[in-house]
Amino acid sequence: MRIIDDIQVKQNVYITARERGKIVARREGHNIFLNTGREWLATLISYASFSPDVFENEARVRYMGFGIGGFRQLALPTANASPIGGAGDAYRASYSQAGANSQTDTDPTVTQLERPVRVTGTTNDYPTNTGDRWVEQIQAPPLHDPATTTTFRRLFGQLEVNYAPYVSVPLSEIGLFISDANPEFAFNVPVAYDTFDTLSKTSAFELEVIWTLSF
Amino acid sequence: MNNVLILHRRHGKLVDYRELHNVWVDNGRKYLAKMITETTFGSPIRDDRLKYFGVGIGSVNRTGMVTSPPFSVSYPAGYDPWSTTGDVYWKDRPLGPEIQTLELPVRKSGGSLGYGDPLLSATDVWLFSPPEVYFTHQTSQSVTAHAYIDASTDVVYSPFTQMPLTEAGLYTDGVHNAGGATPSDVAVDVNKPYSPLVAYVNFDTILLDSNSTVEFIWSVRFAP
Repeated sequence: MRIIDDIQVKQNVYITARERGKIVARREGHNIFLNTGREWLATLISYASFSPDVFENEARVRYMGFGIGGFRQLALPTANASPIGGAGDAYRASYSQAGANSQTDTDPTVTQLERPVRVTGTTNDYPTNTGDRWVEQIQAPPLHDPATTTTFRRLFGQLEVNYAPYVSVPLSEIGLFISDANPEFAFNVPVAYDTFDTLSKTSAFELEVIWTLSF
Repeated sequence: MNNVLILHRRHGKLVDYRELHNVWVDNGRKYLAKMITETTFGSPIRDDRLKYFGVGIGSVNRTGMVTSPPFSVSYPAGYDPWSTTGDVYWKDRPLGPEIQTLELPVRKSGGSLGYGDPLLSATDVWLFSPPEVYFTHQTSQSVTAHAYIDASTDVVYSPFTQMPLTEAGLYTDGVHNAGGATPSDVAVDVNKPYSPLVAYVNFDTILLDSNSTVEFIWSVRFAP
């Protein structure tokens, strides 16, 4: 971390897939703290007014969500095929707000998961159905070890991000969201983002995400 | 990229300026790590924000008259958390020793007793509070503190006919570690000399007299 002048936020994301407790796949990477995150931090540490003191922003990190977008989607034919991403399918790339698997984790201007997938819910196509859950709460409280870092965790169970008719969901992007996000809305704005080589989620395994921000 | 601009004016005319980098100290990093989180959903771990500003005459830039009375009597070295000689703190080496407070803070207003005096007045004011310091967003990814010192009423007062400023700090209104060799949590208190800070800067001496005004424009930026 450069300690002079600017505050830099470094990240590390670890995604571990376990089947009956055994590690079957693992992804490690650095994500990017997005411009939206920096704007959030700038308002988070400020008062809007004094006497009485009024917070400018009270939102904290609360959610994680997955997607099948991003430039590292290696199983693109699967991601674009029925029932996931074909014409009229749930996560179709042709939806107006979705992207064409081009987002990178080096571009701070990213403002959404490119092709978010439900954690739980229905199978209707974008944008959403009432009751669908697109992002889910992280474990609270997070860890601070060392004290200048924050580590968020979330265990996505066997039946999360996996439900009929999606027997295998080719995950390739992940986002970290603050408490302003609406879990029932597909295209929330993340504060941090990462893309990774496709990790196909089936009901056979759980996904553990460990996401550390260092200041 | 510089993020601290200090403008010194006498009778309204610009007579000196400094343009330099700050350091976001370890306490500030710990503050951010906790600030973004919740103990349980809806219950933030901490809720303090940037609010105060303070100045001092310590740091490696300390020179000359600070070793003479009345400075040496009112602001004697050795009362900071590391018991330094008053000329040690340096923003380019914030961990040697770890900068947690100003090294030789000076009063905004009050009396002239020394730091360690048991009669040190609880009404002495050591930090600048809103509206003397206020905050803006000069860019969407930064917070800028604007602090204004009018030395005709603040910092310079009898028996201090001049004040050689060499350091400054930014503070939240919360609790931070300020224990030095024996760490402990201390709340920022405008009526106490040694409050824990989150950002620090030291600079070549700016010599205030009662005709001086000093404006600090201090941006905290979140880098790509």
